[in-house]
Amino acid sequence: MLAEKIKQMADKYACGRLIFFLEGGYNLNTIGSSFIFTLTGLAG
Amino acid sequence: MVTARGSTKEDSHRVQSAILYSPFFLKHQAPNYHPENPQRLEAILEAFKKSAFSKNIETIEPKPASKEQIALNHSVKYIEELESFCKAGGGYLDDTYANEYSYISAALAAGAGINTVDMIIDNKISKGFCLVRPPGHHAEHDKAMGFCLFNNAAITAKYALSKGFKKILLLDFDAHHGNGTQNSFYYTDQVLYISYHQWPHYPGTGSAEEKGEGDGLDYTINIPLETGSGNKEFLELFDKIVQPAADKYQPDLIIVSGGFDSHKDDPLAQLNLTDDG
Repeated sequence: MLAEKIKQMADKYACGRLIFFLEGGYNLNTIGSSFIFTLTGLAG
Repeated sequence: MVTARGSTKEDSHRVQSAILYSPFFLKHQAPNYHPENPQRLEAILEAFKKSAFSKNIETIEPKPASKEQIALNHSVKYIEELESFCKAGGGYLDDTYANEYSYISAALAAGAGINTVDMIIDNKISKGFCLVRPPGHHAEHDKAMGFCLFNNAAITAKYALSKGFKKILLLDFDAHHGNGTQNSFYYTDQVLYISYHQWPHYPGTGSAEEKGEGDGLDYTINIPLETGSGNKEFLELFDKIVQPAADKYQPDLIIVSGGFDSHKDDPLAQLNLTDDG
């Protein structure tokens, strides 16, 4: 998934350094799980 | 200065990630129904609290960015006008609302990124997740736009550059183009801005022809997506465009502008990314 690929990139070049910002996302039923999946990919 | 993190025994005990969040982010809100509302963050926080991550990822309350720090990316005139506007109770600035709490919320949102840079430099964390409102990527040098007041990611990137980082990859996967972020770094090679977005769509910018100018030529990469593009397109284009660009650039910091409106069920965009994509 996308987030895992971004994490691998951070590990490869930036010693894992990454800053995530919430921008948009307007479906209240899906935004929570979208964040957790992203967090799993980026930090898991 | 930035130093590469070693892999000493001490490191293995270090907290690797942190969430940055302030209760003030819930106080910024429009008087009537608005899609960019505090419930968005509440839903994210609830999901986080229920997840296993809540046991080992600390939540840190940021300090607000100073006017000088915000001015790394915005005109002093705009910063001061926004502060006075909010102090007087707020209202609409073109398409973007602000209330009496919006200045402090926006300063804290930018501060979340700045605090993360400081903690990364101090080797306290390697990753910061800034769960902030208002969002930032549409905010321009001298104006609010598209629900955004200050450009949190752009301020943070400029702060990081001022602290010794040299090459920042700023990846934006919000369904809308980050016009403000693109404009902040259009003429520099110190930030490689790559944006996935539905196109044509709000705000109208972000065609593949917009590539940066001068020193910034080829350091802006727009990946416009047709309505209905989903996991397959995002991943294929990552391998085809994003990965080779990152391999060539070799960034020393990655900043992600994460918009979950690329999700298939989002009401404000028509892309088809799913949770496992």
